[in-house]
Amino acid sequence: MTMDGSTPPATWPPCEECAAPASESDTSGANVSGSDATGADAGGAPAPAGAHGPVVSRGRFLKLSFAAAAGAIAATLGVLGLRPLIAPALRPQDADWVALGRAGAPAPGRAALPPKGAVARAAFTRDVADAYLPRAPQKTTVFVAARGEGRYEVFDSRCTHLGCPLVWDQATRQFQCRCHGAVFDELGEVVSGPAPRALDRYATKMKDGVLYVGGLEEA
Amino acid sequence: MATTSPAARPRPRRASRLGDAIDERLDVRRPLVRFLNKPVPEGITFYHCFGGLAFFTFLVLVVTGVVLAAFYVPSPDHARASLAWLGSSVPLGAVLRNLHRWSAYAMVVLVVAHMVRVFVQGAYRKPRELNWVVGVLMLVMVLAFGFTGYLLPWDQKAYWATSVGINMAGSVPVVGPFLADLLRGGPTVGALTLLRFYAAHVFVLPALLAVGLVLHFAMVRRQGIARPL
Repeated sequence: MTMDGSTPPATWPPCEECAAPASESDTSGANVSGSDATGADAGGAPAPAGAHGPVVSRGRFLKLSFAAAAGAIAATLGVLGLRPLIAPALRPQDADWVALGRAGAPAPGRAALPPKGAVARAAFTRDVADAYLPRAPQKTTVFVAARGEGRYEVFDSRCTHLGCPLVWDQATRQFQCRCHGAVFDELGEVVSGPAPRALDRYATKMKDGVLYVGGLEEA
Repeated sequence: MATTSPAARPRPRRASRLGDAIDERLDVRRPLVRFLNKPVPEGITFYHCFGGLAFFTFLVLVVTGVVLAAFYVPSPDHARASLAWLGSSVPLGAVLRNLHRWSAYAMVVLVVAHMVRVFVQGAYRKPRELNWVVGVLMLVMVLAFGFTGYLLPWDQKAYWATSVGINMAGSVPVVGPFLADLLRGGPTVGALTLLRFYAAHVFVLPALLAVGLVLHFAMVRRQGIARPL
């Protein structure tokens, strides 16, 4: 018989030699579905309308009922087992606003933001929940780009390709990824390499000269 | 060879065509049919369902237990917190845990009911003594499942139930202290006890019980169900 995965013929089995064993198994298959039926409806085929005897044999009815019950139980267990596993903490969390730095002169307890036109690495810490663990501080590294007149952009420091940390190259004014060579310009746009999209940004707001960052927004 | 031409016979459904193709290569259908369509003696009643129902609770316990294992942490630091978080923050988490608990209760009840039925009807007699022995061993495993699982929530009830249980094991003549140390893993019930009970509950006992079930069912199929009294 053919094992080469060619298109099966319109009839099954595909050849005369195969027909003998296949018809044998067909017979046993018919015996399965009508094993405890009377001779009138052996084979599980519905009797023609108006004929005597049940439309569905007792054995087939019981078999179908059993299959339906088993299917219902399996579906219930399946939902019960899979639902908890499917992203239990998928609910979006509102990120707290956290102060990143102060514009202008440095003040006690506040890092200074970069001057106009400069890009600098910065970090902030906020409490993050992780399943059953108590909320714990998590440090996040970002790049702050000062656009002037109190406007700042805060970029995620991870490459949009596969998440490697980026470095800022002052000479070329580019973000570079050491893993696979992705390059972004100072506006966060892709220059070259495998990155599928521009750098991700954090929501920002200025309040009393202090820059706050919020949730991460995908580009 | 073939008495009818292939074109003359009705074309089977797609599913049975796949079944035919598999059967043609592996010849699984006839043995499977012989295994599943075993005749049973007359006079079978619902009392004969206890064993099968106990097996069903075992399947429920396996499914729920595997999912629970993805949330539970067998550490004194986190056992309670992980279960509290499962119950409060995971969709269907509380249902999952309670189904595991109640299925466990039901399994013990059903196993005992099955044993009583076999005893009362004398189904354990020759030639089925070996299956009775395997069944009694599995009863011990089921109770061990219950004992080890009881500690895992790591609350007061669990801690003291385990302390009492281990002290009972410790009162066995000669080997008692050794047994208690083996169960406890240290001078008092603690982190190692929890890990040991967890390992027994999710690795050792399921494997042992699976072997017991295979033997139990194979012997039932080999010997048939005992003719009711």
